[in-house]
Amino acid sequence: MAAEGYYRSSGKTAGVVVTSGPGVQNLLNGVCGCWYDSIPAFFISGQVNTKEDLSNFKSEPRQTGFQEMPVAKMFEDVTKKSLHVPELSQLEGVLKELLTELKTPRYGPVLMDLPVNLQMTTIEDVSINLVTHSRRITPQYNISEYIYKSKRPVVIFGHGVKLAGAEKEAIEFIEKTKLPFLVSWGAFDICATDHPLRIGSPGVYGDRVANYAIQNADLVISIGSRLDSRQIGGSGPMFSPHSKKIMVDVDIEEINKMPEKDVKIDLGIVSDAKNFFDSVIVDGYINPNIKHLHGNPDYSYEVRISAWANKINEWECKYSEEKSREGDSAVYDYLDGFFNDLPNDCIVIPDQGGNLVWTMQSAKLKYGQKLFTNFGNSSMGFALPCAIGAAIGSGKKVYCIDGDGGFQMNIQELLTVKKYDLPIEIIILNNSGYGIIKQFQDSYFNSKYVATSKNDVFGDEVDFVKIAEAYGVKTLQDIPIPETQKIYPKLEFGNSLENMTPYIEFEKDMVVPVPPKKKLGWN
Amino acid sequence: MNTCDYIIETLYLNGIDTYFVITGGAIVPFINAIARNPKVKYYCFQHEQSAAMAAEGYYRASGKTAGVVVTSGPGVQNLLNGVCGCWYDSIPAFFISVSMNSQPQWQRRGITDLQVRLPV
Repeated sequence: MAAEGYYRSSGKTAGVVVTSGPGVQNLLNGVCGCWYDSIPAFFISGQVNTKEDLSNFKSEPRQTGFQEMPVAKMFEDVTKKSLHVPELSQLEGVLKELLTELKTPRYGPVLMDLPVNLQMTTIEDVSINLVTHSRRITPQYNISEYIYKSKRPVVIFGHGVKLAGAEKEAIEFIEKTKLPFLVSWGAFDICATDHPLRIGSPGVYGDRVANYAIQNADLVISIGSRLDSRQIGGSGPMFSPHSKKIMVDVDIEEINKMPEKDVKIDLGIVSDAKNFFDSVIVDGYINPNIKHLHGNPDYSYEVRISAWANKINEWECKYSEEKSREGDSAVYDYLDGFFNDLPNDCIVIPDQGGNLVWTMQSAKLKYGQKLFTNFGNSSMGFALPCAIGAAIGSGKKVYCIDGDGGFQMNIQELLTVKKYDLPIEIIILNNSGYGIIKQFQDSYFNSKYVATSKNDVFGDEVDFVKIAEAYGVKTLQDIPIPETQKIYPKLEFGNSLENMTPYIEFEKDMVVPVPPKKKLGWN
Repeated sequence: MNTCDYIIETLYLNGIDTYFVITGGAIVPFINAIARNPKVKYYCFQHEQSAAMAAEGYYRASGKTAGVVVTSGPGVQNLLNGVCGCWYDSIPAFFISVSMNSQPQWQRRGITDLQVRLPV
């Protein structure tokens, strides 16, 4: 998890080196985090002496070497490549294969399983090689026609923009085309939150204005976002039903999956975000020959875009304040203050569950401030080790926003924070239990807070400040949040967050017809 | 009786009356079903790995098998070490996690059906 934070903060790949058996077993969660969020990391695990290796036996005992396990095989499904080094003659080939995978988009983790006796062998007459990969040569993509015909276009940027190092190009693209844009949570920090053309983040836990914009759009250009169901809702046909959709992704499988989720992609472009920005043609808005739709100047690009921007502003004014929070805004008030006081050039890392949603809903970033966590695997306990990696990778001040549930999971790493004297401040939004699951139990289990209430999970109060001090960490704040504090749905009024049906109550403000309602389950 | 009740009753008849749990989005129906069955007990842990290792201790101390119940993704990933402990030392333990694979089917059906279709 620290390797992920290190990459996210510095763009550099870390090596993670552990022993066999329990050592490598404990990697699984962090490896999965890298895998699902496309983070490059190089994992190296020790393995028993090749003489003890199970493969030497014709019989099939469970284990022959101490702390032995079939590592390479077990990690195959959650790494780009997971290889065992059976003998020295194969080492160079294995390294080349792993490094090629590591450096080729779509990124992800690789693992090398290295027997202990090979670690103690002398090698002579070898060359140390730089492994390169050739960048994909892409054709030009002309999307002018789509933009030229559109009245209500939106762009959505995803984490792929950051992974391709194309944040600058993304904003240049926006400023050139004046297209309103949304960001997924994975791309939340590609620019300041108050960029004039930024609408917000769509999704089940997203901003209502962003959801309105994408649902009413007639053109959606998605760049580097996998359009996960947390973003587009639980029902494909309900997602932005009247738009043409352009999807740019480095992984063709992410584009291929969309029709299987009942979302039609009109133009799929297999390219990383940087290649796309380098080779895209969008001259519809400046080409005088096609400037006027049907020769009518009222439909010029500028007129259309500004009418659309006004409509978005109208929604923004109407829905940006969350009225249903009134009287229950403690955590939102705290986080408003937190982001106001945040120094320039720092990193904020929320954990998962309630504290993540509250943080993402409240975040207001200035230029240079970073905000990220793991989104696809979303493991409780991620924030603290990620903060450690980010502090080591960047040398910047890191704010770790945790929950009382998640903080327990990697509480031992307080020692690492202290030992290396890392510039990490820990803020625990303490709502005495698993708040986000309690909200689910409110909706479907008559508020029976089994295994989520303070009494069930903790018994009594946990004094986190005292625990941190015992480790020598003095930068932990335990912020009491009422146990009853809710996570407010911004997507829809009256429905629980877990019900991913979008826009049920808002027909009156939609500019396009709403598809027939369906009764949906959670997720 | 729904699927979860059926599983819990079947495991109870076969000697499992104690569960070590950490709940999460995808396993709430099962853990709530454990809580409503008066014949079985559950204990909440702070990390899935601990719940799994506790199941080994429980068996070694009592000769009885524990159930360990966790959510999908990170929940079940955290089990690995404890599962391997049981595997290499021949300890019986019953692990229950949830697969998200059948989600596209149940997400169209609503929560009543979800409880019936929970895959374990």
